Amino acid sequence: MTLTSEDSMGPRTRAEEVSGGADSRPGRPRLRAKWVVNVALVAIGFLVPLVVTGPYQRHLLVNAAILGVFGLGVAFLIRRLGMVSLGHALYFGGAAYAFGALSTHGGLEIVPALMLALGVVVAVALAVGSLLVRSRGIAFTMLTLAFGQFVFTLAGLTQTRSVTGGDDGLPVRMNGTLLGLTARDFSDPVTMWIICWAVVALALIALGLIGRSRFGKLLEAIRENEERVRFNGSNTYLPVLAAYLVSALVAGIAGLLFALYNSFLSLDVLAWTTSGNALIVSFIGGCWVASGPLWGALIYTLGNAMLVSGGRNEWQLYVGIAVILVMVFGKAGVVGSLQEQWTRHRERRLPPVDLARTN
Amino acid sequence: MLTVRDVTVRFKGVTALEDVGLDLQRGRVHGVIGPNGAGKSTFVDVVSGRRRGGKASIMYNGENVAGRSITWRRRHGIARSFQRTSVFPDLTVRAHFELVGHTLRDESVDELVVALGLEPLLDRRCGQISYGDQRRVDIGMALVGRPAVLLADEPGAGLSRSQSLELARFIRHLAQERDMAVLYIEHDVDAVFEICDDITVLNLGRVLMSGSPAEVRQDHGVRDAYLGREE
Repeated sequence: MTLTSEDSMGPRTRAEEVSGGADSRPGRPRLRAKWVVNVALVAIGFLVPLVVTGPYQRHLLVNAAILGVFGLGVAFLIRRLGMVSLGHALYFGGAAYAFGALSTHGGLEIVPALMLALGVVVAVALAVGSLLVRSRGIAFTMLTLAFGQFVFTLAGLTQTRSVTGGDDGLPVRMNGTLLGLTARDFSDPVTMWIICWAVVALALIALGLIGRSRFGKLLEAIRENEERVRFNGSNTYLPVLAAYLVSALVAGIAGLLFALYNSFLSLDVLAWTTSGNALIVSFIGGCWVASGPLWGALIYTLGNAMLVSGGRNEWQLYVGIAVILVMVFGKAGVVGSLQEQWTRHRERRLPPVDLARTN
Repeated sequence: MLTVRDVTVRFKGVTALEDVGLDLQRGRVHGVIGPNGAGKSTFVDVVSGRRRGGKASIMYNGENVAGRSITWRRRHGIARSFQRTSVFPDLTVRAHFELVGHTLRDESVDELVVALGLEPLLDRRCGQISYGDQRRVDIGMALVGRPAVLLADEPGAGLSRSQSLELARFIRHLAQERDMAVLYIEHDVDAVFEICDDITVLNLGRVLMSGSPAEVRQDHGVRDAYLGREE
């Protein structure tokens, strides 16, 4: 016995009709075209220093890329699980400080120091995350803030000053090389841009693959109806913890880029405002678009440079206005809203669909 | 197969269920009917693990599973569908079945998809298909893994009479074909009397009557409280 239904082929959207369906196989050539475009964009990205020649402008681009990678980590949690963290500076600053301390105090060479710093991030994320991911919504956000501020305060204590440098900061002394690059090379914006851009591309690919995987779909299902997922026989705690680890790892990688580039760390990198910046760039660019945080970081960094260097120090005022405008007029963020407009524009230009024929 | 006893649920002093119990047996469909607020869905919540605590006893294969989690119950063969459709709007129909099939290691999901008539919709996002099709995806997810017990909470809610009856007959067919015990809650009394082997009538949180469809139909108390007298 099988079921039949009169309405089993509900009306499709016009874009679906033309493309062959939201996820249907005829849509695959479009997917391939998208990949070609993305690969071309990545290649072009490496050439940006040829166009942007000013040292200060290059410096801004590197800062934007680092903040963008940090934003990718924070936005991953929002996009896949709807969970907003205000404490990811714990991983951004934590990775930077772990690397700085291992290099400066421990005398480790760059590669082992980087690896160990990432190990520290994973260990801390596992410990903190195992407690945090039991909560959802505002409770989760406030707990991330609490944990972040706890570590921020801990790093500034007199007892930890010998490791973190306290309010004086920590000058990072790097030993050895990474792919033949020394500390001096990492402070060069062109070299650092190439490294950052490679990390951006890898992060986008990795997060994109996760999103398309069964794990990514499970996360989406949890975001939409966690209880239903449990009624499907799935444990929801471990997948959410794994997603939190991924998010923390990406934030930690951004922190390592920051430490490599700046060779100096201050407690600011652990402060909740640093977490807030990553959140702001994610919302401005768009959490629901893969590259949204990167564009948000670019807008944020360039806006900051233009308005502050122009003698106007009301930067936070402009950030506030920008966030209000995004929340009121385009919740999908700048890139997300542009993408929505483009989709609507394409649908308007499509030929009418003969629903009688397709149904 | 599944024996439920002493289910009592109180909400801030108001008794929603009082000492409710019933037996589910393989290959048989047990209907639960009653007016709105009788406690039908609350009862399913208790049996499925959504609501735990209290003194309820839920004996399943010789073990009291009253303290077990939702996930444990599902993995051990107690599945439920929902009164309100609970599909994931952004996922395709295929992704729904792949996720559950993978979790429960069920390789016969394709047959289920065909039986539910969902094959043409596999690559459509669930948020874009009709309500009736969403209901079938919802039921389908509960059937993945060949559960021993299906708790169907108003599967026909929001469907037309004919669609609801068709779905009821399909569930009846599956119960026999898969030797599955079904708890069937539905407002459509005709459908319940047609497909159920046993019926429990709830009223104001208490069992008013339990028996075969014929016995329930004959019961004066049930007719007065719920079915109404024929003119």
